[in-house]
Amino acid sequence: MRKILISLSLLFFGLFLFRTVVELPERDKPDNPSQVYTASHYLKKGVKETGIKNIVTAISLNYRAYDTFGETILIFTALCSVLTIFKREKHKISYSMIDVSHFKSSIIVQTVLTIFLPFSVLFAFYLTLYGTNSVGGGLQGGILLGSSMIIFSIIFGSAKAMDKISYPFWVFFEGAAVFTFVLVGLAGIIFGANFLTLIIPGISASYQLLVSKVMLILLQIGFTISSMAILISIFFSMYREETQSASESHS
Amino acid sequence: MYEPNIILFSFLIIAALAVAYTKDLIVATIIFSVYSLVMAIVWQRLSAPDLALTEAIVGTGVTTIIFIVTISKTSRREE
Repeated sequence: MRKILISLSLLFFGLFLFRTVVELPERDKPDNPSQVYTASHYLKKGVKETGIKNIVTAISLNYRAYDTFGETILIFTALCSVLTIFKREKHKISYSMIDVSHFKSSIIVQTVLTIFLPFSVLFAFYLTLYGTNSVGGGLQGGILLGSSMIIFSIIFGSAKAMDKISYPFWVFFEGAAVFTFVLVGLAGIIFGANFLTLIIPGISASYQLLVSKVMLILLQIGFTISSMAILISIFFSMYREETQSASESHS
Repeated sequence: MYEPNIILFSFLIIAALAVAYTKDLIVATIIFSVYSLVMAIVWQRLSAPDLALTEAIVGTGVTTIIFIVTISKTSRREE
C-alpha cells in the first residue's frame, strides 16, 4: 500500500515536472529569451550600471542578490541540520583522533604547512576584497579560509586549533551572511528603494555607483565570515572524539 | 586545438569509472579529488575562472577532507 502511494506521488510529481520541461524553449537557440534579453543586457550594460568589473560578481550579488540571499539561508540551514545530528561540544574544547593518538605528524609536513598557510590565508583575503575586480568572491575566500584552518587542525591537533577561535562571537560569525544581507536589504527599504536593490534613490549617479559598490563589498565580507565559520563548525562537529570529553561532562 | 580537450575528457570518464569500481574507499576519495582538479582545468579552458577556483577549493580540499573524516569514523573497505 505504502509503495503504491509513494510511486503514485512520484509519478504525479514527475508528470508535473515533465510538463514544465516540455514547455521550455529549445536549448542553444540564439533567439531564446534568456539569450536575447537578460544575457546581452548584463554583458553590455553590466559594468556601466553596477561599476563592477567582474560580471559574475555583479550578477550574483547585484542583479540577483535575492537568489544569493536564499543561498545564505540554505547554507545556514545545512549547518543547523548537521548540528542536530552531530551536536556541538558544550564547553567548546573538542578532542580528535590526532590529540588522542600517539603518532605525531612528520616534521616535513609541519614545516611545509607553516610556510604554506599564511599565503593561503592571504590569498583568501585577496579573493574576498578583490572579488569586485578580478576572479573570486565571498564564498571562495571564506571556504579557503575555513579549509586552511581545517588543514591546520588535522596536522597540529584540534585542541590547538580551537585556541585560535574566539568562541563568544562564533554564533554571530555563523549567521553573519544572513545578518548582513538582511541589514543591507533593510537599508535599501529605509532609504526608499526595494529590498536588496543596493540603491539609495535621490543622490547623484557618481555617488550611486560608490554606494552600491560599498554595499556589495559588505555583503561579500559577511558571506566570507559566514562560510568560513559554517565550514569549520561542520568539520569540528564531525571530527571530534565522543569518548573522553563527553563522558567527563556527563559524570 | 581539440586534442587537450579530448585527453582531459577521456581522463574524466576513466576517473569517474575508477571511483565507482574501486573497493578501497580512501583510494576512491583520492581519485575523486584528482577528478576535481582536472575538472577545474576544464572549467578554466572553457573560460569560467570563477567556477574553476570554486571547483579547485571545494572539490579538491573540502570534499576530500570530509570524506576522509567520514571514512576514518566508519570502515575503510567497501563490502
